[in-house]
Amino acid sequence: MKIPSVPLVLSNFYKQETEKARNEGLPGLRIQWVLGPVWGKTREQLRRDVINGTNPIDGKPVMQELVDKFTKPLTPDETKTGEIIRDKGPATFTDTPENLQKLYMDNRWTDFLPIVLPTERAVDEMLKGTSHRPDEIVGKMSPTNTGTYFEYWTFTVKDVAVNAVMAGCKPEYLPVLLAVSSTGKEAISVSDNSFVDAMVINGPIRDEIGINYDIGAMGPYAHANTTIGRAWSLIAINLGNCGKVGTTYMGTVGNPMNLINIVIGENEKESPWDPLSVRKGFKKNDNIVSLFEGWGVLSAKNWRANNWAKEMDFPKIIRDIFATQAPFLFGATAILSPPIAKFVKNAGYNTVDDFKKYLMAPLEGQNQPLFQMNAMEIIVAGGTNNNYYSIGGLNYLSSVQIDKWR
Amino acid sequence: MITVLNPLGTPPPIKLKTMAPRLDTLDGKTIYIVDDGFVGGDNLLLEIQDWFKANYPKTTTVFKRKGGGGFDVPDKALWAEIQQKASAVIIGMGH
Repeated sequence: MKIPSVPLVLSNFYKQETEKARNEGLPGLRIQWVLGPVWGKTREQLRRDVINGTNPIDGKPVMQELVDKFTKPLTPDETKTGEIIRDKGPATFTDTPENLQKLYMDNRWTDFLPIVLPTERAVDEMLKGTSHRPDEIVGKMSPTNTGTYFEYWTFTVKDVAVNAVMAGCKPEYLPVLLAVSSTGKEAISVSDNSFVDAMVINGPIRDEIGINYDIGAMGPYAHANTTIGRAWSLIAINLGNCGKVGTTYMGTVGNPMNLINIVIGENEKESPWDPLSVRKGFKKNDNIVSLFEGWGVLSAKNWRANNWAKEMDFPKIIRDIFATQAPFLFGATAILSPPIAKFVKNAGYNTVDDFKKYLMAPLEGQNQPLFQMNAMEIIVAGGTNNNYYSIGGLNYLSSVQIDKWR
Repeated sequence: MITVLNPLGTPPPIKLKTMAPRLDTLDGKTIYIVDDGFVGGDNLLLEIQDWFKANYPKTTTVFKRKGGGGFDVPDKALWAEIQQKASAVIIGMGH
């Protein structure tokens, strides 16, 4: 537009937004930094803290700086043109294993845990898990899958394999990771919401590669679940440039689940309903991975709506918990152990959709449904050893075939 | 000693852009103050507008709420208006 413009940004986002400006080709963008947060404050407080206050970065009066940003002439650096080609650096590194561990960690290429060092031999072994060419481009990923605010990095089959090795994966896990990566869905979102990501796996591949869907389903209790989840985060960090605190990670309080994410196999054998994959339009024995993102789930026993009694009305309790969720942004998902799912089925909800209709019905005296059908999901996973389940903010995103990546 | 592979993906190239020329003065100019819709941002932007009214009485300020449906979604009608009528733009908030 060629009209001088100044964006207002909280100083807490200094690293992120200066990097963003550089990546957009405007390294000298004149951003006005202000004290925040801004929301939640009265106009009087904003007048005191911001208008009559100083820039937290350099201590200068905000409003005078703002005026200067419009009136001080551009410098030679601010008028440069051209293109800067960026590469990812050397293709290989040679050193002792100890030094390489330190190199990878210092460069923020890890999750701060020791990695399996990705030698050419280890990566070649990993690549046996797929028939796809190593140099085939799998997709693009950025620190958020909403919009184009952050730049997208491009990656190949081999790039995914390198990170799968680092996470400790077996070659037979690679098709799952390629399928997930092909969606471009990052495991570590930049958002200050401190999101967590989840994948739900359906189909015979669960037993083939050892995905746990019984006791401990949501946790780190099987090699496949744990390392696939870890690899998804490493892929986000290295192939999507995610997880860099201050620039591509701004989660205010953070989320411990980001280390290995939530990797669940659905307990199809014990579930009284169709698998999630079938409900999303796939065939019963298709190998499918479905992705979710949100604030995360919590044991339903922690919700005030829950109670403990000799005879429980689980459908009503689940509905009361759903009624406390925030539906408008990220939806809600319940992960029901098979006993709970069977309770619900025996209460007359023959399909998941039947149950969802009950869950979303307006509260007494109101007209508005609590949720839209596509803003809630029910997963059946876990053991049969007790009446436990988890509910929370997880929004269904997409489902993709795994087998095309074998 | 062992040799290991680089784990990174490939970032896109950066195309440098020239910034718009600056103004010699704010007197007689029109500044559009654009609210991108982030909760509470309008309060701050309206305070900024009040400040300009008090301190730069010869500068016209126009407060606008950006449409488009999302924080970073373009509002083409507003952009066209800014192109025609604005000398400068302040836009906020990031948070």
